[in-house]
Amino acid sequence: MTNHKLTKKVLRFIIDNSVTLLFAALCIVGIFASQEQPYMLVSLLLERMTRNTFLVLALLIPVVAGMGLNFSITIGAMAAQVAIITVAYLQIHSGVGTIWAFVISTPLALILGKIIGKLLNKTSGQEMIASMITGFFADGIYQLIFLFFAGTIIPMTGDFVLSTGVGLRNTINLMKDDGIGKAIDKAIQVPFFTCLIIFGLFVVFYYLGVMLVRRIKLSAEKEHLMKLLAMIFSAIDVILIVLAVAIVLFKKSIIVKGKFDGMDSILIGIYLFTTLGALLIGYLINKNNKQSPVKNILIIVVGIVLVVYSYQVMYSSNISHDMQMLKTVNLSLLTAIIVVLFAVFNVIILKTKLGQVFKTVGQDKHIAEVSGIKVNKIRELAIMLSTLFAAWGQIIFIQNLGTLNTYGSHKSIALYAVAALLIGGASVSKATIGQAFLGVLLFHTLFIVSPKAGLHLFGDAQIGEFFRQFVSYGVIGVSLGLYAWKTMIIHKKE
Amino acid sequence: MNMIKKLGLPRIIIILFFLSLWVTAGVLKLYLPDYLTDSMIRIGMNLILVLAMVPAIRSGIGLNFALPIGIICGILGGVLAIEFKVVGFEGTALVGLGGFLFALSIAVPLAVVFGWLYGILLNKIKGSEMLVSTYVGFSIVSLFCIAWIILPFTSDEMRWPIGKGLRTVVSLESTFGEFLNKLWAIDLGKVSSSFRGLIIPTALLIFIAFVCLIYLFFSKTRIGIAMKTVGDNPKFATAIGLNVNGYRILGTILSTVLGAVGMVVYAQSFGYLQLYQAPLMMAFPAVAAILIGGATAKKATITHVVIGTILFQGLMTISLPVASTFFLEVAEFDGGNMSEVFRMIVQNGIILYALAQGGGSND
Repeated sequence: MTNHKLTKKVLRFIIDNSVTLLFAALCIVGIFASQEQPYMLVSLLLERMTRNTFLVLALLIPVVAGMGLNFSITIGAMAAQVAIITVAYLQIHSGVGTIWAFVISTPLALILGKIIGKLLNKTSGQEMIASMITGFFADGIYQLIFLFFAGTIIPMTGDFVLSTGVGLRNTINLMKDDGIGKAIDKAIQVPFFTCLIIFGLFVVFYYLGVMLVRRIKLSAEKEHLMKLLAMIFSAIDVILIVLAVAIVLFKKSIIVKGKFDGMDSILIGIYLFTTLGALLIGYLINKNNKQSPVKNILIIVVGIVLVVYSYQVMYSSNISHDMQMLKTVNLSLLTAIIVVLFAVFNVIILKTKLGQVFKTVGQDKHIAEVSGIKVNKIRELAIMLSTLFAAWGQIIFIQNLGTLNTYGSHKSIALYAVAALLIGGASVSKATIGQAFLGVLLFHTLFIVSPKAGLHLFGDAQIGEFFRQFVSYGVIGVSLGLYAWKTMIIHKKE
Repeated sequence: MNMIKKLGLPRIIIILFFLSLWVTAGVLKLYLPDYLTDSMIRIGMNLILVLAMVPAIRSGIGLNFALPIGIICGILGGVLAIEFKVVGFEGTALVGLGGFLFALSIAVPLAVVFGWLYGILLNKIKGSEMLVSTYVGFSIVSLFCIAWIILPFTSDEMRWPIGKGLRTVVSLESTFGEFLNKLWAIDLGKVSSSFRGLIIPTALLIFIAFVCLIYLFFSKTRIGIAMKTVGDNPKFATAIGLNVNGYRILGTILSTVLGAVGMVVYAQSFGYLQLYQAPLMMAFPAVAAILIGGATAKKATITHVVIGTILFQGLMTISLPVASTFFLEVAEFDGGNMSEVFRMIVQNGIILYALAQGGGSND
């Protein structure tokens, strides 16, 4: 590769990812300016990532289906809050209550999603602004229900209701009386850096494996054998997961202290080994995603650094006090697993036939119509799914907060989710899971550090708070503006 | 039936609601002259902000959700009037005129500059104006949240006694607060005791009528007609040699300037300047009002502005006392904040209706 070509490539990369890079730079400046304790930073960020990512992922399907960023996920959040209020009011406790919240919110979100979908179909071309206004409108209805119908038309009494007997209180404490507060988060708590060691090792071994097997060619007979092996590995995986779930259910909550006893390590070892095996065989058989060896080596190096650093944090006594604190950072493993599984689900669904239909509709409505796809129905389905996922995401979000702000918890959901996704490098017509994760990471880093950075840089924490609000609105404005500009240019060229 | 179709169901519901609320107010024996006075002031206070939608719609950029840009210019005018203690004509009936004019003289040039820049932006994003403008408006408001903290204002009337920055609400009492409301106000209570409390804010009504007339005059000029042509049919306008982008910028500037003037009038009627987050959502009531009046995202007239503002503000004025009295009698609770919820539903319902009616009109 010539030097010139490389410069061009780097420039291209910078231009294509300008928003993300800008925010990465802002985050780094912010972290230094805020002088935040590493412990606080890591634990706050981890908490925010586990509780917010699901909501951001709820935005993906409408983007693929060509409906842009679905600002009406607020309505999904409202459906979740209706469910949470119901569960809390009926005093259904912790785990069971959480499951009921999911169950109750599901049909509600689907029905609301259907209505929104129908509405947005009528405003074709202006879906995003319409979805935003729909959110505001629904907020009015929501307030009407809980401020005036609760206690009058809907028979509700007791603690929840204001002293006048009409309308719900502003905040509902979900931690009290074994409520659903932190029910998912508390289920399994694991030291974060132990997880990182395991994760890092997994990544390193996977990519080493990939580098080893990428040259192997299989005969048909051997391929058959490999498939069988993969199935056995997967079966062991499933059994182990069921076992783990059973343990969680019986023990109610597991708090791992960072040291595993013999049995645990063996089980985890087996799990990792079988998963790795299954994944590698999958790679070997498909072999369609050929990655460059440079990239592989890079990932392996990053993985090793991660493992070494995490190991230092967890087991070395020769480190500074700040670093020692990091030992106590806990990951809510169950929440994290739910989020990761949901991300995987998104990948899978986009690879199925339905996913292809979404993509076709997103690329060109007319072509989709001609090829026999019921475009409006598919668009409605996309919004229904998005609303449903937003509802589930909101349950995860609220159980983490532990209190429900009856009239406020849903308000800025869409704003923050959309801003995070755009910061990750997504656009109106293209968004990936990776962008969602990266976006949440950057956006919430900025969110955590900006008040303190404002305090240290300008002597006022408020400036930082307003700054992060400005950033949320600004990034949406800029991204949407840039997108509209690009489409206009393409339109003109045609 | 034809009439229903032409007006659209939401508008009919709103008109019926408007009538029934005022009738209910009478039945509940609320003292109507007070509310009529209130309505007149609120109509005067909001009308120019609603009028700001007209040039935007006419020049083809659609509903101007970025009204906060103009509003911020208006606020800057007001804030500077306090900072430099401009009052003018103290001791005469015209006290406050100086401050009012000073605020306008700051706000309007600023609005021209901002409107021009914003117009250039809008020409680059044709087809997505409404969505982008909403977020541009939001961004400007939150940017100025920072500005209110760091700008070096010195007036004690505006600064927090301790700490940095300006207060969230600044009184205009010492400059031009309620200047137009009170000027030449006619108290009908003096004519007949049955009208006690009914005060006509003459100067306010004259001022808004004056602004509307200027705009009406402008729309009859060659430039005004050309701008409308550009909005109605850009392709035709290009064909006959009109500078489409130029007229769109002109429409944006006019809209922003009217927003700024509207804000100064709004602030003087209200008696206070609300800083920080207050202007964030101020575009939405204005958009809703003109839509209630019968405008669409493509067509708007001054009649729409007047009818819409009267209906929307009249509705808002009367809904609060009716709701609180009604619910106090029927269900024994204070329904006071019902009117706020009600506003949200009406306001966003009508915008949504307009968007759904425009179905697929992005070309």
